[in-house]
Amino acid sequence: MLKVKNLKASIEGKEILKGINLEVKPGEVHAIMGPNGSGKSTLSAVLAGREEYTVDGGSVEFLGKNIFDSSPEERAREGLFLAFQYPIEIPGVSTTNFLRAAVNQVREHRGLPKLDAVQFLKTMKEKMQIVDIDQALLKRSLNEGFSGGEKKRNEIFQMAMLEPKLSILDETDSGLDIDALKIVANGVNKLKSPDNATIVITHYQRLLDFVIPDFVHVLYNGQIVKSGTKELAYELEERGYDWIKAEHANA
Amino acid sequence: MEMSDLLQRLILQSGDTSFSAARGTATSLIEEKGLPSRKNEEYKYTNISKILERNFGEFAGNIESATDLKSLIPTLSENQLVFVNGVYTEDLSNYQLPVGITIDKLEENSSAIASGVDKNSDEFLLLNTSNLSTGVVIKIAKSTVIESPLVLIHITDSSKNQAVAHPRVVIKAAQHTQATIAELFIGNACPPNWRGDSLSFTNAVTEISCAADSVVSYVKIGNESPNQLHVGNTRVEVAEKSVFNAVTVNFGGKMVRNNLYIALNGSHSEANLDGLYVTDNKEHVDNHTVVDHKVPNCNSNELYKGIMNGSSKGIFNGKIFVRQDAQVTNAFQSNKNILLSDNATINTKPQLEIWADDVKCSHGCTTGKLDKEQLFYLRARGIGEHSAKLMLLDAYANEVIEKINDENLRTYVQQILRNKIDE
Repeated sequence: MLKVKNLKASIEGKEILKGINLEVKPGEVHAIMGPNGSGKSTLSAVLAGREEYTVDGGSVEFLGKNIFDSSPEERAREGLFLAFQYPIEIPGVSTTNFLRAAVNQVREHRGLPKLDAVQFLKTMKEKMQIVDIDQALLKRSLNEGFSGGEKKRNEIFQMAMLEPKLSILDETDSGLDIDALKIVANGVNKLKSPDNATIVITHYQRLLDFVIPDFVHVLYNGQIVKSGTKELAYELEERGYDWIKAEHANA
Repeated sequence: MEMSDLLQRLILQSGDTSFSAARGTATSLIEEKGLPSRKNEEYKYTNISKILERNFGEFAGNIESATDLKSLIPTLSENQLVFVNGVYTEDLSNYQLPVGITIDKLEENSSAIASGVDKNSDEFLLLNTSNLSTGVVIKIAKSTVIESPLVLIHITDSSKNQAVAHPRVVIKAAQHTQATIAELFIGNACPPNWRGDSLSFTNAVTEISCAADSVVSYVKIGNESPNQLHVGNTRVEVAEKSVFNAVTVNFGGKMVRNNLYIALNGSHSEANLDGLYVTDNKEHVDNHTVVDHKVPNCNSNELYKGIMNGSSKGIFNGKIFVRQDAQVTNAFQSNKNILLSDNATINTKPQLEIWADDVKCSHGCTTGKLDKEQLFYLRARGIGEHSAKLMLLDAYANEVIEKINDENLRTYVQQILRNKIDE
């Protein structure tokens, strides 16, 4: 589904990603862990198509196509979804109206008929259950004045509505208390299927207690320096990142 | 002093003598002052006299108007009065006035003109007064509540020839009334290539007085042709315990200048001023506002927002006066601008003059581009760049549009906005 080969990227002349290799297949959950500044968020930004990053080398294939040929909206319509670490507030645009536009543009791209207001509302009500989000919240301006937990739940709710093939959760756990974390993780698990895949980017192992990864990768200094199974996440939780840094410095 | 050729052509002769005294005074004042040049601080950025000079060299009065103006008129309310080139036109109007409203011809009611003129008067107010020959007086009787807004539609018709209009409207809301009054300015454009760059000129004056305990909402929508000139003077007097709401929206023109003057004359009164200007190409829109706090315990809130594209220009100048007696005043002002192109400009100037000491005042202005983070967020959800921009601009403008307290008017403005930004 996703093939990242020797990906190099920089921002304002500063090299951040120094050759990433990663392959994600349908049905898999990958966790990408790493200390602050290792390039985790840059990776998700480059995959989603943020224009301020420059791709300096390597390739990324998503569903067999070169991802860099597509705009951010085309990637989203193809089935790439980024749950933002810091969801943006947009005053004056209600979540409901925004999502209706998004869902219909995505459906159009996939050759599906647009949803009318009634169908849309029906779908919305079904998906709201998944993350236990209140309809009143969705009538308000997008993320404006939402609590941290509400914003993250809204991200997963949008994910449910857009039915992506590959979801990248960028530090979705940061700033969440354990109850909110469970709701969010539960939502992610409900949306899992053999046809879609998830990349969980996180600093801590905590989220991985609820969203069980098939693979764990450690990103350090712009490269994946270690890959393993979920046991690697426990080891990182136990020992921190210093031993990785040390190992890598010696290497 | 010899009257300039331009003034001579812009001051139309009329047989009606109802206003001869007012006209005489205004004419001698404007002869003395002349139209404002660029050296005039108030018109520094808006040198409309120069364009008038250049384009009205051979203007010899309104010649004829088109016969099919009806198709231009939107249906916005049950009560619509239509003016063509400043003259009230019964045939095009349509109203069943609710009990409590009367509409009289100004020429039969010439004492209703509130704005006495003096040497400090705005030059275009003087020019309007020196042209007085007709107009309307709208009176709202004591304790009247009007549900459906009264809409005045001004058509400047230059389809056959250059046109000059000096509409004059007087609105008097008596005690304990509640009403919404809207003025819509539309143009019937010159045929293309008439003298290469044909223009029309609307010079409107609207005087509003709000008696005690009244709630008056006023909406001014400017949607003339891109080659029209427009100056509007709206002068409002607000008595105690009254609320006056103004929403001024403008969608461009060759050169547009709105002067909105609000005097809070009675304590515990409130003025809310919201504005939106959306310009493109070489359009030029200038909003000057004055809120004059004369007495204690009054509030004013002002929010003006602009969207400028192409090489268009926006100007905002907001004056707030807090007189010595006006203790316990709250006055807030904000001007926000989005520039959609590198060649668009905005000149913004807040001007607070405060003589009282127990006062809460604030002002601020921002100018920027569309928020990149917001744009990316929408695109990352599959929304195309163009529709994402429209969505953000709609939301931005809606903060002003939603202050219009009538749904038909709101929808109408939203449609114009959409057409303008979706070019």
